[in-house]
Amino acid sequence: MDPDRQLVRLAKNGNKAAFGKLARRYRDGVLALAYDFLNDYENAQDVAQNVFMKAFKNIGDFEEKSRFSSWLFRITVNASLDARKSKIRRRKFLIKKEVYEKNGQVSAQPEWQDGIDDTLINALNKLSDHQQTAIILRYFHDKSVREIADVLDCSESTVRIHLHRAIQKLDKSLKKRK
Amino acid sequence: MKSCSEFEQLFEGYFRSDLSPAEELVLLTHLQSCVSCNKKIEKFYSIHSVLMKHKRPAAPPDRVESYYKQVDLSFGRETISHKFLLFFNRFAGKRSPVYRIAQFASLVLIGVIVGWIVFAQVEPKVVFQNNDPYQMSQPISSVDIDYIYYYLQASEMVLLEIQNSTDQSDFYLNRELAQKLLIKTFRVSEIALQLNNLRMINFLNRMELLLHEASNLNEEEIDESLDTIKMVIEEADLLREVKNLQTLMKRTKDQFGT
Ligand SMILES: [Zn+2]
Repeated sequence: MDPDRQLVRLAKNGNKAAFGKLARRYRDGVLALAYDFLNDYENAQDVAQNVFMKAFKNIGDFEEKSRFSSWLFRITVNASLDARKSKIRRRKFLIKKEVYEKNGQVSAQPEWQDGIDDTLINALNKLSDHQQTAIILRYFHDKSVREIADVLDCSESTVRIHLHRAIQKLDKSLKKRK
Repeated sequence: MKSCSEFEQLFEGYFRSDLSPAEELVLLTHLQSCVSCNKKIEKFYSIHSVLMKHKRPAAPPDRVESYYKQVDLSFGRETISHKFLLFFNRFAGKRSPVYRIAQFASLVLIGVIVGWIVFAQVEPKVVFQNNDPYQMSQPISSVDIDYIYYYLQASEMVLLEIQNSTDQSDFYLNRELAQKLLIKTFRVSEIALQLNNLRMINFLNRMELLLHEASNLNEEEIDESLDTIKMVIEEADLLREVKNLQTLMKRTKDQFGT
């Protein structure tokens, strides 16, 4: 049974504090998961904050067929993948970005960190979205195959196939580097 | 009989001790006779152990702090009355007389305690009221002032960006900028509240609504939502207001000598 059921029910009735408790329970996991996709904590923080706002807004849509955490993680995965896509698109707007920074960017840190020198991360980024999600949840978040199936909205055997294919691909791209 | 590729899909579970005894037995028996699967499981194990060893770098402490703060700000901290509500809820749905009595007793208890909390803690709060809403009251620190100042500049840029956007290609940039600025809006609102600057608070409320709308733009109804947002910017004359606030802020900033 879902350990969060009670809080979820309260949150569905609009109880902000109950949702706040859920948010505190999962804030570390959500931030870490967003980081695993984006490899940058500034963006991960933005994504994670949006995830909780979105989740609270849409908690009425959560049908309680899976655990709350799986539902929340699904939102996180989608938001992280979206953020990554717009990050790629953003490169095309470099000129606009410069204007933005000249106009007073609040943070002094570089907004997007490019070229992270990590062979494993690079290899992971070559996987399909589903394969990468399966690996990240299984290995970096210690989720069960069942939970990953809930996050990806697919069967357990599909998750096993994703994991296996992913590891084959990782083997190939890591070997190329050597 | 399973094929080799079906056995391969058991490797992951095998190293995780996640297989049923039957599955494990079948796999081990197969491995005794299949050279190709033996090679594959070795390869598999090398990647598996690389992944198991992977550690993500820790988040910078100041980032974690600001992140926690934002989440708390969005949903509020846990309160005592909330704890009682949870406790009470545990009995909801159970219909036996014992639970009924417990329910009633806890209700009375909650009544007494909540009453005490409410009445014992009500003290008139003295808030410094600024008579002229167009005048800044004393700022908290120069860092806060800088933050507001930069925020206003970024707002202007985002507002212009939205107003000048015409097609789909601007869509992602706008949404992303709006999302980023929305998060910063919460922090600025906090400072504005402390400053008791009504004009700023007014502006920030409008920005929050607008940015929220812009953050949730979706591709299908983009044209329509963009038009609405543009209309709001125009009607509330937000671009002029942001300019005015910048001038006011600049003055405070100079007074503060930053
Ligand atoms: Zn075989």
